[in-house]
Amino acid sequence: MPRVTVQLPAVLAPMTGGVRSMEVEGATVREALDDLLRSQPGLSIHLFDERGGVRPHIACFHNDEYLAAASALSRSLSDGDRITILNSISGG
Amino acid sequence: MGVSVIVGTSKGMAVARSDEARERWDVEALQLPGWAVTAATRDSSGRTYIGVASDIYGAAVMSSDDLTTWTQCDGAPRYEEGDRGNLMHQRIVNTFDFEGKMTPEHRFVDQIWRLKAVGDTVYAGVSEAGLFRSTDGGASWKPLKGLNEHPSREGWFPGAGGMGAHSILVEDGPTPRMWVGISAAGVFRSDDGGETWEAKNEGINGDAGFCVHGLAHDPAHPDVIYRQDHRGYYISHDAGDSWEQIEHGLPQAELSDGRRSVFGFASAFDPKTHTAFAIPMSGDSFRFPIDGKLRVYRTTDEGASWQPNASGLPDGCYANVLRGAISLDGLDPCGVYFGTSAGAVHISNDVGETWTTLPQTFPRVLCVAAFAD
Repeated sequence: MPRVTVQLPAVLAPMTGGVRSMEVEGATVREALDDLLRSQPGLSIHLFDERGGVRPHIACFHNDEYLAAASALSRSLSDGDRITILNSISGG
Repeated sequence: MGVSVIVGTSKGMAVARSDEARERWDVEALQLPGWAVTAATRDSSGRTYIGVASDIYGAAVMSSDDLTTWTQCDGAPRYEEGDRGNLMHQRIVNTFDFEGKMTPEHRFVDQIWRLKAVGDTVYAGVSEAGLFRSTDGGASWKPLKGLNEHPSREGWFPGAGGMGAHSILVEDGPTPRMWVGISAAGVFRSDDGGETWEAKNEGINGDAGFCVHGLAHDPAHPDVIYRQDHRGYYISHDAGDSWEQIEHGLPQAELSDGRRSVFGFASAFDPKTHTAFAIPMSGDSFRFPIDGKLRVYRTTDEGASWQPNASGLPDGCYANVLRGAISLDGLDPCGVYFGTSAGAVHISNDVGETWTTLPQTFPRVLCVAAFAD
């Protein structure tokens, strides 16, 4: 199983006891996030809405590539990859 | 005994702590930056709960025993698969997907408008409008389906801030009656511990829905309820079965449809002095104090007369006072605390007779909660 790093935005730090980065396991983004939620179950409501999908204004990156919401969860991962959760930003 | 005041804002939360006389205040640095802190309450064990919300990361409940270290509760109010959402509410709070499509086939909790602890039970009034209850310190939340799936729900529609259950009153006693205010569906009462609910809006001007803005009462004498609506200030003497307008001495304002009535949000009641508080605004188009003069109006005769108080309150104020942004500390004499949408917090340690203002400028104040320590 690939081991990857999940990086979290600062705003979620109060919900994780200050944790901003975690090593997790998963063959896909979905599996990696599931592994993340096993140790940080409180993040579930912040990452996923009542539909079970990723909240619509979360931006998810695989290494340096932005993942469109529809395909983000099924993206395959390799050992040492990085998943970054960010706030989507618009305006100025 | 001092007082701790939670100032919940659109960008975090500050705690102001007083000396015993409630004359000197120390305000700690903003906590939880990036989270709107929308509601606060304290249960009988002394644990304090707050509602937090993010446009991106949703709503949650956090708790603390010292107002310094906050931990997210294991559970949060959440709707279930199959709970159908309200399209107009979603349009207001922007709960559509990344491509701009709204999803009325789903109902989302986007904000916790009110937390109300009764003993060791905590109620959460949320938007999209609904009521939840936790009896395990926030570890789990059960929907009060008699209200959340009320037969009239299809006819509910939002106010300007969305469709939220924002006011919760609970009677003292072993089998308490409960009241909840929902914008813009009105007031509902339960006589059986929250199982079933009945709309209670007889006598209210409902031309634009029953847009209740705030409720207040004495839990020990709950038949008398004060009600600030979009279209007027009301009182009920029969637990909400009927309402009458009580605006003698309260300033009316022109509403967007050209008619006049008292408009505002903040409502509070001090049982010791039988004082009800109102902070009238200059109508729904402007939402700042009339002529820019921030005044707290008080009645001690159930609305037969109202008197404004200006001592220590500013002229030249063009900010609103939101419904959750007023709180009483329950001491004798009662302390009164409220915050404005421009980030000012005004404090009275004498039932609203005189006022001082904290020197800080906070973000938009969404909720204020005072606790005698």
